[in-house]
Amino acid sequence: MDQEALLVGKATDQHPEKRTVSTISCILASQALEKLAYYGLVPNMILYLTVEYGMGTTEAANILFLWSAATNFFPLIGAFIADSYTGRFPLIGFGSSTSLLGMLSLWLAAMIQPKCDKSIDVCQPTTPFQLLLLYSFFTLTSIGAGGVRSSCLAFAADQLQLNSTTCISTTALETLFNWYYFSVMLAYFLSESLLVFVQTKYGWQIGFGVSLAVMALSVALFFVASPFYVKFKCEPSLVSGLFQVLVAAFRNQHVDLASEEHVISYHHETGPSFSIPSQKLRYLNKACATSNPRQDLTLTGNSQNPWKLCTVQQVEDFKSLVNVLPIWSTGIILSLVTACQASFIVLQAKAMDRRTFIKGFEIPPGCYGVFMIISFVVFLVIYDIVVVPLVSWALRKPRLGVMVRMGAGIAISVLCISTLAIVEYVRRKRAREEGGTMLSAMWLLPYMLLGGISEALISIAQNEFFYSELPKSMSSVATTLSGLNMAAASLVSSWIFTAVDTATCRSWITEDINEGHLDYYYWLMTAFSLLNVVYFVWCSKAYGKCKTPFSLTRSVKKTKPANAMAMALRLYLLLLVFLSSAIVSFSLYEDQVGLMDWHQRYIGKVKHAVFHTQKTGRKRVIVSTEENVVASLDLRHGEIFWRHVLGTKDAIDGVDIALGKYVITLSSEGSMVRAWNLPDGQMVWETSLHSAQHSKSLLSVPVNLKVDKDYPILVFGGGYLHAVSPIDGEVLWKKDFTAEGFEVQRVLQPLESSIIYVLGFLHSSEAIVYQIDSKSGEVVAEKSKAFPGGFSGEVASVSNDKVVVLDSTRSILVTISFVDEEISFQKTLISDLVEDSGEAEILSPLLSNMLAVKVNKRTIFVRVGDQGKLEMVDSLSDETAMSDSLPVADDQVAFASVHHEGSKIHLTVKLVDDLDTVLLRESIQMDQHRGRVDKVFINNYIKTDRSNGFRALIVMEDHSLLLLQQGAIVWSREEGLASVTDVTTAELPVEKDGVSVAKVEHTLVDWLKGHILKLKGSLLLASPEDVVAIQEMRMKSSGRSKLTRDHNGFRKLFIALTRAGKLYALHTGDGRIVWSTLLKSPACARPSGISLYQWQVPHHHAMDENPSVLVVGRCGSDSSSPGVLSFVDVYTGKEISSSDIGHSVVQVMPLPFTDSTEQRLHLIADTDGHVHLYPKTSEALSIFQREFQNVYWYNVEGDDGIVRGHGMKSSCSGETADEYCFTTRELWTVVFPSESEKIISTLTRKPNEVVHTQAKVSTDQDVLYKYVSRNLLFVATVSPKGAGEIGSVTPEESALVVYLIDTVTGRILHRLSHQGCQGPVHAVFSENWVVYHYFNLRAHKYEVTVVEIYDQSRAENKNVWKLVLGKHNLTAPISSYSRPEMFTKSQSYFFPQSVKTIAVTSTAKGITSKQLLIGTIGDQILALDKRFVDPRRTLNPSQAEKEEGIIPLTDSLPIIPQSYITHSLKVEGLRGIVTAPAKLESTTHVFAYGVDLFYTRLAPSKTYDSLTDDFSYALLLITIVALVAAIYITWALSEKKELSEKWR
Amino acid sequence: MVTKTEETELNQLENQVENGGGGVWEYLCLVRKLKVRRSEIVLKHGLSILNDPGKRSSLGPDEWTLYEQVAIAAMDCQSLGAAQNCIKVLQKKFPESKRVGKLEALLLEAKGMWEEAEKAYSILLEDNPLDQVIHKRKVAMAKAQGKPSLAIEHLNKYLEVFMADHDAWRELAEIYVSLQMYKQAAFCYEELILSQPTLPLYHLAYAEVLYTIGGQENLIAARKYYASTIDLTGGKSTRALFGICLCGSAIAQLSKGRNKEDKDMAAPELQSLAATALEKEYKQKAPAKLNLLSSALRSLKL
Repeated sequence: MDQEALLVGKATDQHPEKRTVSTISCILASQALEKLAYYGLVPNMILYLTVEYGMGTTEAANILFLWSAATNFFPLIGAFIADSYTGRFPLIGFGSSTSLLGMLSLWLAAMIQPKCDKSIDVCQPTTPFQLLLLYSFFTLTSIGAGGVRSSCLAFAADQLQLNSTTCISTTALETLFNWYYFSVMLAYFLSESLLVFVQTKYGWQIGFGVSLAVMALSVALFFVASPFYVKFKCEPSLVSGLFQVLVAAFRNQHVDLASEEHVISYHHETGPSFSIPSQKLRYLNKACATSNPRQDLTLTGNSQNPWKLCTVQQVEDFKSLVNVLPIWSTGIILSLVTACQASFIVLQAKAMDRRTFIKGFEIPPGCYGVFMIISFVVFLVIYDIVVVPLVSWALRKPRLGVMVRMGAGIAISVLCISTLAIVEYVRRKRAREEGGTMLSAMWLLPYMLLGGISEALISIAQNEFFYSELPKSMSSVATTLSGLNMAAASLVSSWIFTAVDTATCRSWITEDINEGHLDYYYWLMTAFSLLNVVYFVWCSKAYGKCKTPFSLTRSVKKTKPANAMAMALRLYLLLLVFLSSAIVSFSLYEDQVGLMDWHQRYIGKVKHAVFHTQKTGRKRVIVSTEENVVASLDLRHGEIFWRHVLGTKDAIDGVDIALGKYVITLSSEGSMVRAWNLPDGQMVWETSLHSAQHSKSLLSVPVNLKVDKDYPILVFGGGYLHAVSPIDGEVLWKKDFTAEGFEVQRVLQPLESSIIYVLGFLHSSEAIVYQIDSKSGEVVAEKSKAFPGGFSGEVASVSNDKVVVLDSTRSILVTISFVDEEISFQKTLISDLVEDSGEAEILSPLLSNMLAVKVNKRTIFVRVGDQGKLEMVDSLSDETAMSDSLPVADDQVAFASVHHEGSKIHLTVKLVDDLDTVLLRESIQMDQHRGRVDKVFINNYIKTDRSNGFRALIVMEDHSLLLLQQGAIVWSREEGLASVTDVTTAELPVEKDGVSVAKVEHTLVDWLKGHILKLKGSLLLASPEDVVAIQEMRMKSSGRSKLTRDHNGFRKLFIALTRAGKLYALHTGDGRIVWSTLLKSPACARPSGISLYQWQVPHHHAMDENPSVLVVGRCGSDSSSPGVLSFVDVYTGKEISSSDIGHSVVQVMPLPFTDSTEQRLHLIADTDGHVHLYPKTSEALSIFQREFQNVYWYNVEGDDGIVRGHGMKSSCSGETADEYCFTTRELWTVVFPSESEKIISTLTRKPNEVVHTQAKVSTDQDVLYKYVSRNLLFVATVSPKGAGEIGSVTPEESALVVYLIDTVTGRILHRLSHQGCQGPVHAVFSENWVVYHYFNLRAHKYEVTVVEIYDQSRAENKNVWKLVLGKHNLTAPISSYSRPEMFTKSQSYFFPQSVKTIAVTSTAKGITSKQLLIGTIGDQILALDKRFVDPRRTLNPSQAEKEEGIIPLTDSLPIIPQSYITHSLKVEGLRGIVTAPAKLESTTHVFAYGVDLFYTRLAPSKTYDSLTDDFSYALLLITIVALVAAIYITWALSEKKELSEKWR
Repeated sequence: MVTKTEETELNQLENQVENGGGGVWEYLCLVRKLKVRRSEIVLKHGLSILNDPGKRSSLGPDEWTLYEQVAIAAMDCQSLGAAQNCIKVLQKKFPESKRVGKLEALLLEAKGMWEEAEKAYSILLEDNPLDQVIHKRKVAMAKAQGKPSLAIEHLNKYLEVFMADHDAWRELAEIYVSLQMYKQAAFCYEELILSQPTLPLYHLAYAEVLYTIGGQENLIAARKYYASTIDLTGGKSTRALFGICLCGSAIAQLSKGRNKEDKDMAAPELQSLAATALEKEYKQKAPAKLNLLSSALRSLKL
């Protein structure tokens, strides 16, 4: 305290020697004591309220919250009051007295506290008086705090100053602030430890008494020194003056400061200073401008109306307040870093090792904040005692500048938070990787220490800064400003917290911090702090020089800093705007997922189903399907709980539930047993079983209701019987049944028996039964008996001791009983059972003591008597599906049968024993397009009236899966879509006038609701449900699921043909099924679909004719079986016509001609070598006849290695022939040597592909002409040895050869051989290039090769002279017969992945660059730019080539994770990718199918020709307006600048 | 310099403006551009523009220039109130402007508050010590106060820095002449001839100063400069022709009784030629005064 104050001016009545250190220490001590008293009460107050007053926690917490809020808020009010009305001394006096009064009332309340009788735990109810005392305590203390805290520091600082005309030395000020903080921190520390301790130890009375005493001391101390204080009179209306400035400026806004209309004299108080308001923030000058001084001013020169005319001083004060705001705002982030992380620190500390060197003492996690206070205090002391002298010695300056200190604080805060981030990173890593070991919590100390230091630096420097920069009259406000920082910081921190939380989907900040990524959050804070440093540097530069001491008269600042200041303010505003808009941009991406793409999950046609409904929890059904999927479905809604797609060769043979918690699957012909966890589908174990030969595979899982006895799972497959433990999949024993000619038919295990019966036939004529001990696998007994007639192999097991088999003539049923000593046969002629007997067939359902036999399209039920006697009990004439039998109550067994009748199906559940007892009979309306019922699975449940209810899962012919219950379809799944075989696209109908498709009839309320929702979304307040609702709204408004054509061609239909012969139309917008139809044929019951063709695509008649597709099917599986054509209307899904064509279908060739109704001509080749023309109309015939000579076709005989080309010859001759049948002649053949080459892949271009330009111009003006021909065939052959699996041959043995063959002439245009390579080859052919993928055995890597073909014959056209002189061949007709001069370029690259399929994007005009769509082995789709497979790539492309976009050559193609167009989704069992152009040139539709379906829109060259859906027109408009405004403003500014330059 | 065409244009515009035909702003611009002194007209019409808010605001930034122009014109016309108003407006607009400061000082000058003006100028000079206008103003002020020696002092100081300013040199020369400090004036004229050797006026003036100083050598030199003036003007300078005659006569008087060798051989011839030229000119332009001339020449013993 070295300052020596000088005494002049107003304080004439005081003497300088009075004002010494003591007054300041008095104030500081009084302030510290007040803090001590107050903060000593805070921590335990909640306890006090709840325990002594019996308040609820919520109530108490609310009161405390209000209290603290009031305590924090009143100082601001107090500051304003002090500055403008009362002055500081009275306010502090009033405040501390009030606080004292409050404490007194609290103490009183504690003294008359009703004594609680602890033994009976009953307190007397509190009297109103006590409550009054308590509440008055809260009110008084918060008001008192408002008085004391607002002005104390400012008042202390006043003591250093003599009057308003001199200035305080900054050195003194800094010291004052340092000691102020020191005292406050010390008070905190003491109160939180000592007073709290006293309260808990000695009771409330004494505890509060101490507080009261301390407070009393504080008041006494304050008033004792009162004669010695420097007391300034306050500026009468300072704070209201600030508002007056704003109001007056607004009211005087019409005043043109630049005009001479009113001779403006700036109003200023009568005084010596000749002051004109400064030019910065000039708008505010209007507040002090008057056009008519005589009217506006009183005689004494005061303003008539201060709300209309302010003084210059007021305006300047206000300006200075505004000017410090940017600097003030820099403190927010710092407070954010240091103070607002407290809760996370506690969490972190909790997860760390908090032990100390003192044994058994752990620092409580909440106490780590103390270290920051300690650091703060210690740093202050060190700073004042060590650093300051050092610095002043080193820099020859008394002190560091305010800005320097603030900057240092902010810079240290970056360090501080980054150490925390590092610590958290290490801690989290360790916690996750090493489990138990915890990092020592001492690692938090660096953060704490640095945080304390930076806090100390900045808060003191800021206080000093505000104090010195703001006018003297506002010093109370100045000292509260930095406190306001803290409040702003907590506001911002909660805001950032919410934003981060939402943006990261709650993945960063979680309850368990090991799960979350707190370190990321800290790094974010670090980034903010870094930005803050930059921001601060900029702000401080812009602020210009701080006021130097001894220059209090406000000199008008130079213009330049003023401009910069204004810029700083603008930047500050901009920052706010940016921050508030930043959230909006966070939330954009989340919504975009699913906006353009959709993904549907399927499982395929169900083969087996096992219900799991015992538990009361989720009822589910486990299914296995023909697509090798095992899945668990929700029985209520049909959703997939989980599913697993096994490999294509891993067909599932059986599925069952073991132990009530595992799903057991048997697959790969009985060689693979897996157990999956029932609830979540995790694989529990997997056992690979030994298999020696192909055989039936049987899975037998014991139904053991007793858990303690674990029976093994019996698996027969590959000639071995295995007993597998259901718990861990261990093979307990195995038995070899691989004897020659022996076929195991049944493995039976009677309940509660340890004997396993294995029944088999030897050479189909001898029945052998083995009895095997189920524990050891030993053969206990072996019986055999020959059957002279021989068996057909169809077996029905009816009970545990009998099976019924069909003999080889299929006319005798033989009952085999095998449990007795001997095997006994009992024959029954089927003709004895039924009248009109024929070949019989045993149906598969398992019924107890009964079997179902199909004879002559009739199903008969045959009961097996005790002695093996058979009798027919029932017969059904319909084609009926039956379920296995199911035990229901009372040892009864029921089964279900389903049969069709018209458009209805009838579900009947009967008892097996008594077929007349019908437990359930329901009839359900069924969609005709589902076909017949294929399979039925039933499950029973107990209804509330204790009767049996049944639910039936039925599989229809179109593979769909339905659950029937209580006479209704509960849910259905279109599983047919899991087996799509062919896909084509179709346009939607044109939107007609007057037909409004989308009904958007909003009421005002709906509209408002929608907007509120959107607002919520953009303010991050939306709950997950709201987000869903917003997305729905967005979807609706985007109109993407409308059923009409759109301008961009984004809405289309994908027509998919499935293996079941069903046609589906899927909408590109949301993937829903628009219609579906099952193929029918008059000739055969169920034709199988082969392929789809566009039959009629009306362009001219788009308004009145619907487009249609041609579905080519076939009756039967053989290629020579007769074909079926079906024409389906695309809009309605109705079959227009279908016809049996009476000949087989080998190849369908769409011709490039259409008739007058725009039906495309098709040629269909049959097995006899004839071709047939469709449609069979004379018009089509005449068109065809015209082009007769120019029609060529080829076929590939893959097995023989021959490619043949054909031409038309003449009409057919023969009795069946009509005029639309033609014979062909063979024009050429290409025969590949069968000993060295085998065709594995052929490919042509897509016939409808569009090529935009035939030439490719490189940057050096060189032109390459693409050889674009539709008649190119790509053939890949490998050595026959290499046709097997990858790795089955050595590199020397295998070679891959590819050919490009002209299909008109049979000329081989190009041949390329890859030695040591092997298939499978996946290729894509587009424009003039082929890209194919194969395996390189030498490099042990997959490779991709590109071949591009260029036309050499036209290359010379490049010569301009030839063009001019007419020696070019551009007009020469191009013919396949002319000798092609062409050259190819090719290049190979490694490709790191195996591939399932490759496709290429296609766009409307072919201008957009292409992308290869590679279906990877992981069932994802990778988009690879064609530029990566450009054969012109070189290692070091020249500058020109680089400009052309040629990428430097690398040996392998890159896989960029972002270019997976499926994102994180998987298209399970991916089989094909279809691309179709949208009308918009940049965009292409991509549809991928497998077990799942996936659709997305792609823009390979980005959407260069359209704005995105969510393009913000408002933003564009605002930008334009802003630009115009900016132009105008800059123009005005430059004008002004020029003028001022002229008039300098 | 105002060329002939500019002058005619100016006069035409002035005529138009005076008769209320519009084009006031163009006229004012032209006046400003040509730096001619039409203070009364400028004041009259400039004020009319400035008092019309519509017209004034349509000028844009030129408004302020007009204020300045009008202020100067008003001071020229001694309507100090108007000038003060204008300057006040400018001061409000450009509170820290030096240019306005000059105007203010000028106003003080116009009011005759010499000391205040002096002070204002010195303050302005502190900021920009090389401001020519202020220096010149100080000279003008000294002249106006009737303190030629002070003016000489200021001018000398000024010319130490701005040696190329021939107007200043001429001014200085004229002051010297007025104080009969011919030697100094001669020096100034020498400087002027050096800087602009083709301008006959300086030659003439120099010759006259030399003639006034007298002495044989000076007279000879004066005659030479008269001759060069005649040379430069193509014999049209009557004053120079007279000068030659006078010089010849003066030299002849001085050399009376001296050696023949000393006499200038070419002199009598030059003298007679000049006399002939003069007579011829008079005969042409003022035949009535021919007799007067002849008698004068005769008195010069020619």
